[in-house]
Amino acid sequence: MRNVAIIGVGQTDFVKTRADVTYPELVREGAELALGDAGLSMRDIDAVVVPLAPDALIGIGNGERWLVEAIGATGKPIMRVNNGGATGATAVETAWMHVASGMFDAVLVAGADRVSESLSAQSVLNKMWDVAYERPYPQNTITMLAMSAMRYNHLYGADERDMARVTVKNRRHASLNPHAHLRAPVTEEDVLSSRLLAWPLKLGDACPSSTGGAAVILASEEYADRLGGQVAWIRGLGQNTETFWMGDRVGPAVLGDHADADALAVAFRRAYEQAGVTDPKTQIQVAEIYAPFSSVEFHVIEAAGFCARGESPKLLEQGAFHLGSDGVVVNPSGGVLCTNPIAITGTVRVVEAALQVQGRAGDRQVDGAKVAIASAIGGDHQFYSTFVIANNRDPIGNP
Amino acid sequence: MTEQSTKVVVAAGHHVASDRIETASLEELIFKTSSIAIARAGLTPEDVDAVVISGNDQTDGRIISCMVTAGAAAGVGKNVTTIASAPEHAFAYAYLRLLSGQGTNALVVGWSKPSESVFPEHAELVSADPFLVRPLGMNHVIASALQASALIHREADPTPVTSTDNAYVAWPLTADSYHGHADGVCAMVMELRDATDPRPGAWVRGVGWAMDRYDLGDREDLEAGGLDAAMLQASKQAGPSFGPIDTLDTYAVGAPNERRLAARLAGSLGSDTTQVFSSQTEPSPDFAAGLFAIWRAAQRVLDSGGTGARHDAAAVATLGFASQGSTVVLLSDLSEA
Repeated sequence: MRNVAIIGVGQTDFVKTRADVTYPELVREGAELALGDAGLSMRDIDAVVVPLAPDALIGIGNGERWLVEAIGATGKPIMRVNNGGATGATAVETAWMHVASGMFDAVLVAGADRVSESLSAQSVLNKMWDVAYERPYPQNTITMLAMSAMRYNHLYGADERDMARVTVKNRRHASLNPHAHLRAPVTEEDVLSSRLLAWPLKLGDACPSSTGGAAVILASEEYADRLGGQVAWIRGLGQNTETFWMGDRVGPAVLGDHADADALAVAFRRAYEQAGVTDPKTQIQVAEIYAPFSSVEFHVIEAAGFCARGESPKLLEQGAFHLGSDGVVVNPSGGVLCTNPIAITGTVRVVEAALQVQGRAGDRQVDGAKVAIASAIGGDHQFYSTFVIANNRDPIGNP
Repeated sequence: MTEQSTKVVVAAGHHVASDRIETASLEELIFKTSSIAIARAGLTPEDVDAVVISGNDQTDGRIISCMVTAGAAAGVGKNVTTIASAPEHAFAYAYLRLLSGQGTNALVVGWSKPSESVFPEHAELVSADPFLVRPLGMNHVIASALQASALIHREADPTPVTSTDNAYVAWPLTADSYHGHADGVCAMVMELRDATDPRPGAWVRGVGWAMDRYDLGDREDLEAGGLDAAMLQASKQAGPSFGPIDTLDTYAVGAPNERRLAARLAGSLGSDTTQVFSSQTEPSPDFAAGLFAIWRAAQRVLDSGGTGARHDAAAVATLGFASQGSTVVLLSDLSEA
């Protein structure tokens, strides 16, 4: 199997709306940033993978067909991925397959989202549920994760203040990230007093609807070595799928408890095995993980193996996971809680992980970062994509 | 691509299609079709390493339909990827996965069930860009009719297309040259096998796909966008020992466009005896019709087993308004020459 390198990354600044560009133009912005980062042009690109999640969010079906000219990809192989919220990461995995297969040397992942283009993202997302059973509730992504948060808090004794601490940490990190959407620091009291969305989730526990573009260029080992320059290496990747039915995640016939992210833990394990990670607590310095609501960050940290189930709220209270703390730093970019352009949120996780291991993350840089993980979650907390990204091809050992 | 002793093969598959299926939900159809394909490959659902699925949410009246369909396609606990650009791209991605050494098999499932949508033509309309093409009232039939009429003009054929006993769908497409909407699911099991494996299978000798410009007026190749690039990509993988093809399965919207597609592809990879099969003669589920064409091509190779004669086959499918993109799949009952 070929080693696969990240040779270029790019992301725009993320905001609520962009009325000055069309969807293809927004994709182009991210693509040009990544191409510039790699010192390449589209002529050097063999194939393109487009992350694009629900079409209704951008107001056009099959938007990947519309952007061909805008990114200069006429005549090239293009395919689109849609794994819900995991799309941006799954697209990077798809590009990895392009390169690892031996068929392509340089593959561009380029996408964008403009969630505010739809009048109500949650109304759109309600339609992803089963017609007869869950759609009429009406279920949406907020109520879905409110139930998960309730279950987690019930099982492990966590509460709304624990959740607020996640937001406080991530907003502080985002204040150091010029690309982040929500950059204003907040206090625990700010979060606790914010508008209730679906108990126990409040506005301060929730991600924004973001607009922006991002891109990643993957290349074969031979291509990357020939190109020279600074690269990051995808050392492992893993994906897994949970049952759609939340009712199967609680009760006597449980497949996996809705409080936890057991299927995500399997995905991480697959990535760790490929990368040779044996002790994530000591071998990984940065975690760019997908957590669109504060409560989600707890069980993702635990699924990644940084602590046991139910321990992460207490560790956070004690100062863990912050920039400047000992051990792994979680979401130094501010994470999904501060920026969520759905289709490319997973791509941004990979971008940030690559920047960290390359030492190019600016004010949000984690000292001594050599190995990072990135993850994304899609659907009904259902599709999980994970990566181990490092600054070299050496065996991963204790730093 | 590096030389390797293991190659990818279509081991088995199954499909169900009809003009309108009201006796089963999409999820039920996917479950039934996938289960049969997996069993025909001699596997159980637990044996499947990865699942690659593809549907068009708008056509089927859904949002992120992979959520409810992944489980029906044996995806729980496995790597599931939704390739939303086209089911034929899902086939290509499964091929890439296996070449990458990610597992030894993959289930590919593609579907279309416009009967679950209130108004599939409206879904096609909102696939048009909101500034220029959507206000024109574009849909696939109109786009393909424009394509066919432009090609008639290009060929300088002064004879107007007339129809006496056959109603126009959109000039010059007639009712018998366009099948119309259909429901269906197609599932295939692809495996990585040693090149000398004697078990029957349709060896994948090459896969190519490419896209042309979005706007019809800007196309470099109005006949079939990206066809030359896709053909070149697939042919390079197959090598000079492949062909001439014995059979060619085609999919484009409308028989006139399929005929031109076939003429170019058969002219390049075929011979005087190449048999060409159209998708217009049987139900071809809208978004999934390209995968159905690939499966039909694979079936011809699988069915030729035991005849003693070599069988090389190709499938070509187009996607988007007026064939914006093309995919070419080359199959053979021999893993290599």
